[in-house]
Amino acid sequence: MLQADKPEKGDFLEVKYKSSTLRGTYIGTEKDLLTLKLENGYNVSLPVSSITILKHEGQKGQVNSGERVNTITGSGRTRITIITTGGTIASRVDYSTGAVKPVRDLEFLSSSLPGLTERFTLELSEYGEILSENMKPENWVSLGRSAKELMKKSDGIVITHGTDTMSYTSSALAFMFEKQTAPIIFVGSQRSSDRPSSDAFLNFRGAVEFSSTDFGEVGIAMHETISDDAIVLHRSVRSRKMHTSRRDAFRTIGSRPVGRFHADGVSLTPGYRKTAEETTFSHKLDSKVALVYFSPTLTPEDLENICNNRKAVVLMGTGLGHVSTDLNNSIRRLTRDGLKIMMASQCIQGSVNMNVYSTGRLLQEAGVIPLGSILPEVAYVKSMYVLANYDADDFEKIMQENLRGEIAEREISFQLNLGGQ
Amino acid sequence: MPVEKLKVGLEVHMQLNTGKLFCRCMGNAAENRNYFQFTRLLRPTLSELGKMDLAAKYEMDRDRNFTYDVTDNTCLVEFDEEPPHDVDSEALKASIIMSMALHCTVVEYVSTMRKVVVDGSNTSGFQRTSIIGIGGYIETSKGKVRISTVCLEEDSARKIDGEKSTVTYSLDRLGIPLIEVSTEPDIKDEEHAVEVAEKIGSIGILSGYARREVDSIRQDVNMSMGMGRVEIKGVQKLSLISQFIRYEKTRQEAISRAIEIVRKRIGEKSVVVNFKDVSQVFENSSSKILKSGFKAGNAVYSAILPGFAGTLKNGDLRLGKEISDVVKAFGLGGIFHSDELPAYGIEEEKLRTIYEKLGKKENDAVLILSSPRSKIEVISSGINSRIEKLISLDLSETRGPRDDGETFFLRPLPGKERMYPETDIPVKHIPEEMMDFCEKNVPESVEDLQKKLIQEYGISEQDAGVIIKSGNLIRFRNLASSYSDPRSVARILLQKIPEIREKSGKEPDERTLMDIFEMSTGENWSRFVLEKAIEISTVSGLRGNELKVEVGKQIMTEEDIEKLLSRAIMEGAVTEKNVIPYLSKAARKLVDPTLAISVFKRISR
Repeated sequence: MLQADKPEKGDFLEVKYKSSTLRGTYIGTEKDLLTLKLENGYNVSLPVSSITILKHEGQKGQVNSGERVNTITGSGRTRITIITTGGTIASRVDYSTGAVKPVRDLEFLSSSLPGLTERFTLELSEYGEILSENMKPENWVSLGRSAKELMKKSDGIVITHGTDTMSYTSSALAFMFEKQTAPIIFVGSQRSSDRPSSDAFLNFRGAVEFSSTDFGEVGIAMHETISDDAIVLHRSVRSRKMHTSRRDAFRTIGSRPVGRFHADGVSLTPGYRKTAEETTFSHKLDSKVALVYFSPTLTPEDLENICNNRKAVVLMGTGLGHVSTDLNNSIRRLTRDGLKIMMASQCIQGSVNMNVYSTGRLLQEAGVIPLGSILPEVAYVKSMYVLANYDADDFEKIMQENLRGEIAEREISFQLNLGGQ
Repeated sequence: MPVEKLKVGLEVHMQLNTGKLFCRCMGNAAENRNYFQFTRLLRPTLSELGKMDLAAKYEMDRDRNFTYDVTDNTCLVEFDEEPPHDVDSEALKASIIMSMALHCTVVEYVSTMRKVVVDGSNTSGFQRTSIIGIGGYIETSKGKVRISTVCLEEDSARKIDGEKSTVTYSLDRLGIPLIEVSTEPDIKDEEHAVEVAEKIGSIGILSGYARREVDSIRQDVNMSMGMGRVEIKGVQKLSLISQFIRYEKTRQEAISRAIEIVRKRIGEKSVVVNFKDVSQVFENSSSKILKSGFKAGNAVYSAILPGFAGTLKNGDLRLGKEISDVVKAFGLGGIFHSDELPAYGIEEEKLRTIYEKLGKKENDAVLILSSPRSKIEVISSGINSRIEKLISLDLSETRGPRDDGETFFLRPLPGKERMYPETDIPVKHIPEEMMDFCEKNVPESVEDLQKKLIQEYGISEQDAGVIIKSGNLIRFRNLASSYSDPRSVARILLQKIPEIREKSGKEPDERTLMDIFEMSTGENWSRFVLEKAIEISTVSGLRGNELKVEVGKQIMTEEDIEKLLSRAIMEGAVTEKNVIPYLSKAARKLVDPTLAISVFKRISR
């Protein structure tokens, strides 16, 4: 291929490949493969070294990303602000590069949802493109601040977020907001909006519906089952992503979801915190916290290395809350030096109880704080909040206190069903 | 309008007998059972060129939702709850072999595309498809027919029922690999089309990868007479191909004549149909259809179709049917028109009122329709675009086949807008070893292959022929190379397994068969015991030691026979003629007749 022949995206090309002649629109060249969109719509990727360009005409086929910009839509009385971060729900694929680009067009999400724009006025506020796995505590804080500001002019806040770390971010906001004037609903999707079967649209609809209620907490709106019929509202501090790919990956652990949206409308189970007259928000988090998953080869040195420069560590122990007794001496030393070491369980389901076996009792004697039914990731986020906002002496007491519904005081008895249908 | 020369092209779809294309599920469900259902809504998406496909938009306007039956040969991939796995390498080989056999250029890199299909037949809303071969040909009695592409794609879900707002599909078929062979429009006539389809099908069968089940080969017929391309989708029987082409020729000629009549009356004017709510007029009509429509909350709408009188239903002029097909596609029963009225209980005097109200002139036709108020707008726009296409003689569309040899409107023709890259599957390089393997396995003629099988395995000419034609070639080769008695393998594949399937509805898989063959070698089983063991295992699901024990319980061993016979011979209760009935009665177990006779001969001497 000659430099002079260098085609641009959208150009018409006719190339010779082995014994065949192919015609189509030039899409791009990557790793020595030239991609051509044939007249029948198929893409073919051909090694640059084995083709000859027979004909090259500029801009015959038109390529555009199809992206429109529309930051406010609808004429309804209820004003909802949508804060977009990255993640599957807010992304579309740039087909030529394969890169994921954010959706900036609200119309796109809301147009296929009948009646939405008559009841709501939706306004878009871009937080910025950030993959959920790259979210850090400073992002939680700035996102919380935006939500607080936007709440002043909105009846509800919807935050689109990647599902991978949605429980972390939403739990952080849950602790930062002691009181709030409007619901904050996180929403994600497990299938990107560039596929006809995307769950983004219905999840979004559910989130908007929940954000217009008097739910004065931070929640997560996602599919109830793998069917497109109901969206449930999880209390963020009891929620967890329990599957890599299913639409109903998010589960409320140890309890039932707070709300449900389906054809008949929204229903909420009483017992949630109602929206307040004013907002109480703390922007302080201390990120010197680690979450450590115990495994049989974890050595005292490993543990001490991780704990270095940290103020609190959440251990994910086995079963009711155990780690190998080899670690006891290290733990004792670390807690004596002022490190807070807590225990949550790898089982995810159920509560830590460190009185049943002697190893558990020994760990408590060594200074480990049992956290009951708090989910490990939530405990990790909560300790950042507690470190920054309370006296060090009160740490243990506050960690074991139910601040935002993060502790399932009574585990409701129902079929332990992780697989769903 | 002069009718141009007929142009015909074919797309032949062949299911493969491998596992599914993008997950490791089996092609067949083991049990005919639904485990549960789930539901989905689908929305069309824009292509990478930023455009929405016409067919997809049409489906969106139909506003339906979809229910899926879950069978045992499905996993989260079919549910669209998990990204696709790697492509099935056997299926990939099959498509390369097919491309080579059709003299195509085989691509070195496979790009997988999503073809948007929002009629619910794919849970994801698209079908995954890749070009494997480009630019080949086949020789036919009427010259070369060029092959444009050979594609490897996923089969769609099987529709169980529903035409209206909810449609139910079974997932058992979803994801089975399909090879799609598309020809250029080089086919001369309807007989030639049948020949081409047959040729392509037989190459698939010869390769050993074609699945042999009902509806495992389906043809799409593309044809044009200068009035746009019509695609007739999913023709299953070869013999029907020519019938559909003939029907389509007649239909298009008749439409052309009907439009000529309309044009003479109205000139070059465009036609816009404006539906008015005339429910009041029909309030107490005795028409059953209108009555039940009112009951369901429908309104009655009517509109003038200027210049169309006598073209809607008049001899072979049937434009009424063309319009009614669209209405049906939106889930309504159909439409009444003035060429057939008064009828269906619609009173003449009410018609007169309507005709007067709408200002019908002699050459005008009138349409009457019972429709939900919420739907009339989209239906009316559907009817208008249909009429616009008819009068401009653009007949391009996708049509469905009916058993009686007629075709019906299915949806607009999809364009290239419906294709965009499958971002979950990276471009895949075909390794050289695979190319080499495929080159060596390009199918020869039936005769050559038959000879080879006879020579290699010592089976009969007849068995060799049936093995090839019944799609058992690959299975036979795999099994025969792992068992010392290929003739027995042939008998089991061609007789025993069909017999078991007939009786129990079940079929053993290849892995199980191999295990039982191995057991048979170890245990020195006779042909009789081996076949029984396969039957027992298939029906009961027993494997390994459990199977061995069960076989022992059900079939008499040599020892058993010897013990029973020696006593009976002493008592004089048995002769060579009644050995078998005697034994079955005495032991209530199955008896291997060959073994029983040989034991009898040995001990009665």
